Amino acid sequence: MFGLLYGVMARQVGLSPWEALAMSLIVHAGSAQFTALGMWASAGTWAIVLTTLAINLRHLLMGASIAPYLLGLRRYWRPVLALWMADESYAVSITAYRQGTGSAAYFLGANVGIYLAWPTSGLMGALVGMALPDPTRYGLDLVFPLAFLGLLMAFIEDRKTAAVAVVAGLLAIAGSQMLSGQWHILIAGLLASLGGIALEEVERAWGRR
Amino acid sequence: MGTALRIAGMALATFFTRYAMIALVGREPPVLFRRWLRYVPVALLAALIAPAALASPPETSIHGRWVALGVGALLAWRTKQVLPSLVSGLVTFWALSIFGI
Repeated sequence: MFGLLYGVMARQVGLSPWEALAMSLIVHAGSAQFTALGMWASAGTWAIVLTTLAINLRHLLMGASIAPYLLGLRRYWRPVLALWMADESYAVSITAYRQGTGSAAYFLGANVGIYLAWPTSGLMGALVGMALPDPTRYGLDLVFPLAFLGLLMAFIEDRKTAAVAVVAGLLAIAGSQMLSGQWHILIAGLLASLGGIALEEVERAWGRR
Repeated sequence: MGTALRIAGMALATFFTRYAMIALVGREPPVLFRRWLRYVPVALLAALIAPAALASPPETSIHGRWVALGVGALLAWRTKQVLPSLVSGLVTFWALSIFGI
């Protein structure tokens, strides 16, 4: 489903189905790919690469938690498994490892399954997207903000995350008026997320009084 | 060429984040870093949406867009899922444009 959506969006920003497919095969990171498409038309290469890096920082935590289970493997397996570590295959594999039923074969199988499914559905979406004319006429340009709203809300867990979202949104609007390209996304995102830690500290200080 | 370069850069950034901690096995990222990461996705997504939601393509009805985004945001907030907000927002927009709003 997300793959289909990704393909349709890729068409909207002007990628050919083959370029959309290549991105899915080579980058293979759903949320980063969606984000990159969101800024594709107006951002430079550096802004896109750095934003991809920021979106993917969560992989560092995933890698740290699964690394101990990979110690027994031959060295060359580790980068191979890391290359394909998607959110979903990580989630099922770490669960299996913790329950004692995990293995490198299981991890590899989960990775490869997702590696095959994701580009396939993306290509289908891109082909569907080709059949749709002028997106703004049918409101299809709303697909971006609407889909991202759903993703965003899933991350709003409490008042602090909500406050961070509001601040990030306001900073980005202000930044988009002042900065060229799409740097405002990365800058607003970094500042507002650091603000989240500041909020935690303020909360802790209040709790102590 | 530009597209190939962008895709290659994104691929390198992704591989780096996936492999770094597996290569440095046994080392935990600092606590402050973990705390910060909790806020990164929410902040980046909000920064991405807000300016895009304000954009107004010339040929479409601005009111229809606002109502559709409002309905989508409400559904997204209640369900925390992508599909309900997407479908409800688009259906709202189409329904409104039939009536020429």
